[in-house]
Amino acid sequence: MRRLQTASFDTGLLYDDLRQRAGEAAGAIVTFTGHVRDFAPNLATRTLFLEHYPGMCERVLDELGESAARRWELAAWSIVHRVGEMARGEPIVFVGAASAHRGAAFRACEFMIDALKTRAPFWKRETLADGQAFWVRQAEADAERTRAWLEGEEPPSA
Amino acid sequence: MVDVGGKAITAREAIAEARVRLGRQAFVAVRDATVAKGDVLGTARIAGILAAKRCAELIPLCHSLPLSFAGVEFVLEPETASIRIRASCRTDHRTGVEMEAMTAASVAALTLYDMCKGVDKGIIVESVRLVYKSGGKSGTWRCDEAQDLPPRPIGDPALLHGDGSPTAFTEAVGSAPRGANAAMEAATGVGVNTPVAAPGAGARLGAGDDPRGADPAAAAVTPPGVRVPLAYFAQVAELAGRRADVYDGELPVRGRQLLAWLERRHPALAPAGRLQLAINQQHARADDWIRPGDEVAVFEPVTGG
Repeated sequence: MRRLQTASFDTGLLYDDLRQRAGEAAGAIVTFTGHVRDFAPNLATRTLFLEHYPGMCERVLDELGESAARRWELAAWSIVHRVGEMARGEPIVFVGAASAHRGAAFRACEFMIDALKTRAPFWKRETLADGQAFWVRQAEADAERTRAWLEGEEPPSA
Repeated sequence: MVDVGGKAITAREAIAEARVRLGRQAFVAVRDATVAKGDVLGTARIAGILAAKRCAELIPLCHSLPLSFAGVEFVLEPETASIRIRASCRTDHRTGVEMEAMTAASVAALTLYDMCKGVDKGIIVESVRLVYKSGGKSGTWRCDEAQDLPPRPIGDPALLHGDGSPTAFTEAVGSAPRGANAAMEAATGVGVNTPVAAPGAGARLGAGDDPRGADPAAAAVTPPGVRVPLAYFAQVAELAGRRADVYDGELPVRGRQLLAWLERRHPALAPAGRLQLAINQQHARADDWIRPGDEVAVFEPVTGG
């Protein structure tokens, strides 16, 4: 299941929905939630704005989810990503994988969030508490992790 | 009211949707059927159907007409703790059934509120709108979000499910790239082939072939004046001072050449080598070809998640 939306979400409801879609065969459910955090320890964030490429975003997230489902034999998967303006502390993204085995669920969930961070066309603009605003640059570590996944290597820790 | 006496009797259909934001507590109560007041969805369904039949009594200038069908369906949306209501109506008459569908959706929404207000008085009926209508002189109309979808009419529940269990209608699959294309069309006046199932000039995509690497010298000569619209995102749009642009150079052209053209046109984007391209909504390599009819986007490395 893939959703893009501006509205905030409740992680519990998304977890319940994933579990319900997975059915009884999937005993292992692993989820990740990303929240708006301060840009740096001494640079508090006021708001985050997520721009996106409508059309391509849905396509890329569907491909990520479907390829993870095939590769790790998932019973169900979820990617819910917000766009638009959001405040400090609010959730940005929810990723979940349900499988018969915990190894598959962990690795699929990690793959989906890692790949999303280098493939899905979103761009973050930070507005700090002191009023500074700027576009965030992609972290090199993220690009390296995706390359490793795609080549079947053990990725460096995030 | 308008005198519809002379109008033709034709088959007419309308679909309206309402969205009710329940919030977590009420959503869980409806989902788990723990609302003390009763059967929430069943009651709301009946209320919507009854309201459709009484529409002409409620809306002053509406005509009375015999409905051949009225149906109400619900989809629970956990990602927004909301319920989406779809009401369909049909008739064979001189005037349409948009108001019957809108009234059914509205009253079903109000009934959801009534059934759940004991759990949370802050439930909001967020929207009620027409999604689709057909028949009559003005023909077929769809709201923006439904442009690429044939509407899936609700069938008669008595025929579909012998046990009376509710059907859930199919969710929209993906969305048209309205943002990029709308921006391009507005800025350039050039129509864009909106890729839906297959991107760009679909005939090129053969199984196992990589058309992007193939030698385009063998391709047809590009007619003069053909241009490729470009969409800019995030910092690229900010530095270029625009969201939509037009590449008017030689076609076909390789990605890296387009980036070089971009750097000359918008020096603020230099060095263009760090920029990325998408061709027909797929990440493109620097050596990939861009052809007439392609949808091209330019952006910096992505930062989602």
